[in-house]
Amino acid sequence: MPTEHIAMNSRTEGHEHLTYDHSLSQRRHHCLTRFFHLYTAWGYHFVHLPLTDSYQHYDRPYNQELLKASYRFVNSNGELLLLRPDMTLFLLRHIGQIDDAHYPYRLWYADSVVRHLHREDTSLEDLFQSGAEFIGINESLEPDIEIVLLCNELIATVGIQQWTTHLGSRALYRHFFDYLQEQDLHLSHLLLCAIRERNLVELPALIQQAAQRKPRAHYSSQECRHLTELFSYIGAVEHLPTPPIGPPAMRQALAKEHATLQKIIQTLQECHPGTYVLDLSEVGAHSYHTGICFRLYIAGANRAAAAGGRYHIWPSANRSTEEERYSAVGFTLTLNTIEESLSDDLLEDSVVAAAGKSFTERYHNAHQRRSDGQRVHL
Amino acid sequence: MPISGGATGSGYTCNPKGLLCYEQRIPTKMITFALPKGRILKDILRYVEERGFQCSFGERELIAYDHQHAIQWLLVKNNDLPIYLHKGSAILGISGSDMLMEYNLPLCRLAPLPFGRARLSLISQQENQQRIPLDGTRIATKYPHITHHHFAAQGIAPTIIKLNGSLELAPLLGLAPYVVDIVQSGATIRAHNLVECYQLFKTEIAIVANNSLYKFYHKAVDTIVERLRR
Repeated sequence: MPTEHIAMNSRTEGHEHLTYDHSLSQRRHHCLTRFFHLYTAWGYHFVHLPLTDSYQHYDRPYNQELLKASYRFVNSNGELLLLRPDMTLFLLRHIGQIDDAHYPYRLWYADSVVRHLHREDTSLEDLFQSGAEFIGINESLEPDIEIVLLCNELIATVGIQQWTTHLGSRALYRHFFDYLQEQDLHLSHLLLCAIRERNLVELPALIQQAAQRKPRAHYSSQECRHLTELFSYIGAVEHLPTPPIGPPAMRQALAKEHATLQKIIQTLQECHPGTYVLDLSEVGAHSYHTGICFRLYIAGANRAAAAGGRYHIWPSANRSTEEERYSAVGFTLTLNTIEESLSDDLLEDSVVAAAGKSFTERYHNAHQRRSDGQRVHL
Repeated sequence: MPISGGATGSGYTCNPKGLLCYEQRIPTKMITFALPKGRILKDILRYVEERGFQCSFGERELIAYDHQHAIQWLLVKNNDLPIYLHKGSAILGISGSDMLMEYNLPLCRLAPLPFGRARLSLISQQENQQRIPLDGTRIATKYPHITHHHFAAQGIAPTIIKLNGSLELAPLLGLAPYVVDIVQSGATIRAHNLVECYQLFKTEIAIVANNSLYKFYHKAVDTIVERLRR
């Protein structure tokens, strides 16, 4: 086929909402209208984020995984720009513009992100994310619980009936392996990937390697086995083995984290009964996570529908001390995953025609019926 | 009907984009398990049946069932298996670490299996055995990404030719003086008067799973995996 014909006939990703399958647009509309009402009812403020930003603000070692998947281009001034690959990343950079008086601040967003995920998976380049962040929170568990509950209600409000919420902790990982950030960043990355992906074939050897890097007292072989069991644990919170690993201070930290997760899951069950699973392979997708981490999995979906957790931020570039940081907790929902799991029966498509002989009659008839909640065209 | 995200077997209906709606994906008490075609299949079938699973495919059949253990077995090409798992057409599978490395997809690796160990090696004719590939040297392989990364790490940029099978022919026909391929006993390369220059890394086979589907159905999946590990 001549090249110009290929170019004329090719479509960028996302066009299918217009041309291919009307139900895809309906699905997006269905989700967004319900999300808008729920976020607003929960007292969250809508924020709009820029589509591009200067690349230099994001070029940090901890962002490398996300930046590897990003698209960049040079503008007319020769400045390297980054096309938004993730909503939270851009949100964190612009959070400094919020006046201190607004904290604690609850906000939500919904927009597209573009990233190259995998050469075998080009269908995932154009994602639509919606999420919420609760910024400037204290050390209480209530904000974490609030965010998980909001995320669950969003999934429920669109009509999804079967999902599970898996809760883990980045804090727990940090208790045992925080030293790797300075000792061996590459090993830290490999270890986190193995835990997150449940690579139980390589995890024991990676934990052994990490143990060798530990300053002063290394973890013993037995402790390495316990750590492997711990970070591959998935099940009921009350059955979590709490093995004696490390010095007393570390054992106390482990017990404290276990109690924290137990309290969170118990409160979640009381507020919004559902399937909550303690899953210590949930260590957060991003290096900025510091506390609880969670993901929502829908029946039959091949990707997680939502992911979130607690993290620290510094509201502006000129603040960098421990005292000046804010704690925050939030999540991101991937609408593409949720939309694929929606039944066509849930989608409303009952638009009716206005009655009347003249245009004016039809207009008044439509106006009356719209105020009753009907969808009416002229 | 199987539990899976994207299978389009009997009983499924899809919209034009191939999306399965919620009800069609709802668990129907079966776990989809993809097995790789090829020389390792015989060993896998024997291993699986020794552990009490029923898994037999009729001639030309690609789908089989174990109703007692609620498993739908799928036969797929070795190099397509990671994609079937990643896309959710199967929850569980058995794959070699070579294919997992080549695709580098975020799949769970739940347990290694005690057979099928091999090595990924650089192979050539006798006269090239002591020579190292240089920039531009042609290398034929089914593993272009692994090969690229291996040589790039040494600062070498060979010309990689992607082939899908019968790699032994490439040096014999002058397509490429080197081949990167799996070597198990070495009998095949010896039969073609080829030699193993050196080993890139050892490979093994493992039980793998789609991460999100594993998380949702972990109890049912773990029961099967535990039985397979006995």
